[in-house]
Amino acid sequence: MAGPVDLTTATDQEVVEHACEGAEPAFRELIRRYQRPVFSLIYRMVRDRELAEDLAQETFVKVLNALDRYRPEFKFSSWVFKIANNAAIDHLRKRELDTLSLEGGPDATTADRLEATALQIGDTSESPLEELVARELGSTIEQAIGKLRPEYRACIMMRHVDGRPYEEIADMLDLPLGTVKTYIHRARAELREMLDPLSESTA
Amino acid sequence: MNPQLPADEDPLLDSYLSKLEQFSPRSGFEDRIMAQVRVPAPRWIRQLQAYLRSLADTGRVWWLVGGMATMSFASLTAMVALIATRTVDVRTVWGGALTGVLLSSWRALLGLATDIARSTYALFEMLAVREHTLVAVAGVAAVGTMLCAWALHRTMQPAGVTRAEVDAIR
Repeated sequence: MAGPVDLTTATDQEVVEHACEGAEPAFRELIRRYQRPVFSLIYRMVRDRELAEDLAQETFVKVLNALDRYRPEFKFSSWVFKIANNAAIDHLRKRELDTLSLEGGPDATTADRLEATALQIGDTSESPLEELVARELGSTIEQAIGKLRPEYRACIMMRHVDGRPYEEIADMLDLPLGTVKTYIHRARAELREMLDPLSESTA
Repeated sequence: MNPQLPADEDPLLDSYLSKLEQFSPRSGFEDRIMAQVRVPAPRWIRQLQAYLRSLADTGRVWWLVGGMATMSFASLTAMVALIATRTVDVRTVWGGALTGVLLSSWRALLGLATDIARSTYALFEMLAVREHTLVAVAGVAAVGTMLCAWALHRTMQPAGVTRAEVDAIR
């Protein structure tokens, strides 16, 4: 009889197999592996913390309840991100949103709501001044990303935050490889234009 | 930013993008998801369920139920027939088996009791050598009994409940 499997070192496919066998820890391991990248992607798309959590939750529920339909010849991460991206895009199609703020969601009008929707980046162990500068810089970059078209935004996030290759992004977003390269090129050009004043001020 | 460079090769833009962090959802995110996820039953249970379902779908389940019922009925009939036709033999065998089991059990019990009695007697004999020792042991036993009774009383009383409350509950 095989001994207990260390899920933290197992591949995605192995963890999925265990989950399909009815092992609850395997389900939790999959959530732990993907909760941050999925939440980050959705958050940067919709720019509202509570909404992003709802959509991320919806993504995971959809993925985990359909694990028996997962085909191991494809990357599990591609499947998860494809569903997450679709959830965010579907939402954005229904509703137009403006820029991202680290201080709170765009619908936040009260102090409580601002606090509830604000991002928690965590302790960076910097001095208060450095933290403030980093926060402002981060906020400016996030705002610039928030002004991109959703398709560009998804591509740039997958490329530069998750470090995914162009082919995988094309596969995840159901786009031709050339289109993905074009989107990333245009996104970078737009970002450069938007962040140009920042480079002048910091120079 | 260097406007001379293509956007794809701008190192400053890369450095800005490298500052983008991954955010974390609030605590309890995992549990909120798991509350909505249907964890499947282990594979062997699902295989058994599928097999039973296939039996039901093909009508073979009636053959299975019929076969089991026939086997049970046949076994029962055979036993009744055996008892009816060979009553004396059955009684002898059953009686012999029962006697054997009971006798062995009784002997084992008797042996155990004798052993306990002998050990107890040996202990008292040893203690009886010195009168003071016997008195001391009796004293310790008495105090121990009282302590045990007190501990039992405390244990049976719910934590934080006063005597008056216990009486009120009663």
